[in-house]
Amino acid sequence: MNIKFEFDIYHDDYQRAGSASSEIKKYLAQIGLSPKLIRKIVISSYEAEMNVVIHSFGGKLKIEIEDNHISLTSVDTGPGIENIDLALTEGYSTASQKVREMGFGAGMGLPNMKKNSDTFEIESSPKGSIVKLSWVIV
Amino acid sequence: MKIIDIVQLIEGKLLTFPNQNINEKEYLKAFACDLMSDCLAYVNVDNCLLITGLANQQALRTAEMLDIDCIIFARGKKLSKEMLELAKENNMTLIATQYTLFEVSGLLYQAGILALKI
Repeated sequence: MNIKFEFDIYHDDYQRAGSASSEIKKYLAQIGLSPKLIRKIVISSYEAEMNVVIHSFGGKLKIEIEDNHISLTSVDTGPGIENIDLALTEGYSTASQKVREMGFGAGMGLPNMKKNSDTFEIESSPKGSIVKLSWVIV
Repeated sequence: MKIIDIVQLIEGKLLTFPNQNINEKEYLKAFACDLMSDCLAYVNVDNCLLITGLANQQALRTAEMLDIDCIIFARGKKLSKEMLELAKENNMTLIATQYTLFEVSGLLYQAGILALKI
């Protein structure tokens, strides 16, 4: 099995935010992954999706499903994360008041993605950020 | 605790519910929170209710990712048509109540609904 999906994610589009992760969730349930693994993957993908909506100029969410491995990548077009170490600290957030009123911006996103994945990599420059996550299907 | 008993206890109004088996499921735990980031970080059990005053699509999306299929909206929050549609699409039960988050939580806790260990 090698299946790939790609979703366009738009800055500030709170109406559609979460719809990519919702589609991912429905697909993963269809192919029969365990609910526990699905939950870990979609929590991470939803956090990634919200990060692109909230913090970037827009980007893509990609998922690749192989027989015993799933990888999820979010790629955006900037403005990048100024201090990755700080961004990985629980409770640190640069989110606006508006975002906080939407229930986000508690500074839990990246730490939560790290906690829920088997591997976690992040790169960032003013041109954009790439977050790569993966899971082993056991 | 079953939906029908929850609705009665919190003097709630059932806004959406799946067509079948509404009263088969037994809810055991609840998480009360307006911060969806925290829900995503801490909810990790089945048969859990979400009690919130955050009346937007993100509350529904968050619940969806966490396999939460019943949300109680406190403080008399009004939900948009889009929210109700999205809940129906995802077979989610939405309950609205005039009670505050504190009161809903207290009533459910007294009735035996447990907290999550975080």
